[in-house]
Amino acid sequence: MKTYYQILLLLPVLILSSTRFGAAQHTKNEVEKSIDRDAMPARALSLINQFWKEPKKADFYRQSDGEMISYEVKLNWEDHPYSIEFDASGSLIDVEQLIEFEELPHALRNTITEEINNQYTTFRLTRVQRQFSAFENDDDEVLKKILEEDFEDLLIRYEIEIDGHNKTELGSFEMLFDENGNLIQKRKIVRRSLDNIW
Amino acid sequence: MDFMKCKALLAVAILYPVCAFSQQADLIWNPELSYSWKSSDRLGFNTKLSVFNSIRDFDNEAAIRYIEPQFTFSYGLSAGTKIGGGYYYRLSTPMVDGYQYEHRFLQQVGFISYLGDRRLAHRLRLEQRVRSSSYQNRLRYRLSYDFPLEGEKLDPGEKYLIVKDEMMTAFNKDEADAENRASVGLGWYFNSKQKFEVGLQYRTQDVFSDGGISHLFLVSTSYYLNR
Repeated sequence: MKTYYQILLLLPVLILSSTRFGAAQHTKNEVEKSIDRDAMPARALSLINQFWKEPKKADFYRQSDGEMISYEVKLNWEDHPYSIEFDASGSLIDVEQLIEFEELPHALRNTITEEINNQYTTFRLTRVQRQFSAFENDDDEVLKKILEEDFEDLLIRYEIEIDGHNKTELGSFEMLFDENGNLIQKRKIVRRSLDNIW
Repeated sequence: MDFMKCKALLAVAILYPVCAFSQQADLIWNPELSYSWKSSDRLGFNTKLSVFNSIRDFDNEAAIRYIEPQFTFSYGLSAGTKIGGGYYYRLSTPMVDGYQYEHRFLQQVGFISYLGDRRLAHRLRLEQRVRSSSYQNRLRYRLSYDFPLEGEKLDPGEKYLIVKDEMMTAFNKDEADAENRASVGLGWYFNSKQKFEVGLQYRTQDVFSDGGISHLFLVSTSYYLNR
């Protein structure tokens, strides 16, 4: 019996030691870590404070894909959740606003729905975000325009996540549309394995 | 959720029932090794080796209660719906003379929904247990929920919490009984291909039995590998 238990106890140790090697090979994966407010770049914090005046509830994250580091603030503003992304120096990358699909103009909704319909036999929208970024504006100018809902001179895109399937594909997908509803990019969302809950 | 609060909750959830029933309940340690792979977006396979060890019989030949090699497959009907089936073989008390076996066939359907990186899964399973001495059907329903403990997204190197509850009824032409299995577990997500879970399961067994309800605590250590 002793040998049996020695093997059983040793097995996880052997697997765990090999895992360290395996994990090191996946450092290029995008990793998001929750951080304190103080760990944000000073310029990013200054921009946030200038417009949101110490928001009551905000979450701060540091993202890394192995090469590029970025910082993200998630907060609620005027009934919409916002995600504001900065680069390592604190310059604004983009602002994403979580919205309902019904908030989009009717014609745009039809164009987007038609495009998704062409690609999938069955689909369900799971998340819609309006993405704002600058053509040439300063960072504070971009935030100011978003707060004032003056979207002229801003680059607007729509990031739409769906669950869908057709003859060859099944799963969750992220589709990026321009402001006229033209599909710019599509990528599959890689979900975690279901082996522990299925 | 605050990580320290989660740890405190987990400790209470584990220690309270263990302390309350440890004198009368059966105690099992269940190491598992699971390997999964997909041949397409829709079709997935899983093999698992599961061993049930009696902690009370740790020092004698009855220590190994069951050894279970398992094989299951799943087919995705949609992004959130799967059907599947499989086969388990159970060898009971292999170290003791007069061991028994069981062939188990299963059919199941599952519904999975996502809220960010939090996952809620319903599973309905039907089993046919062909034992060396009897036959039994089993109908099981399980609700599982897992979520990251650090941030909104579960990234490599982070931990997650998983809670499950499963209700089941076992029946054949002569008798019927019911069981509930509540469990809580802490997982280490190393990367998309490997994770490790430690869990505690509390089983309320023989609900309809004349002899009264029996209790079982099962400590699981599960290692999951994916291709």
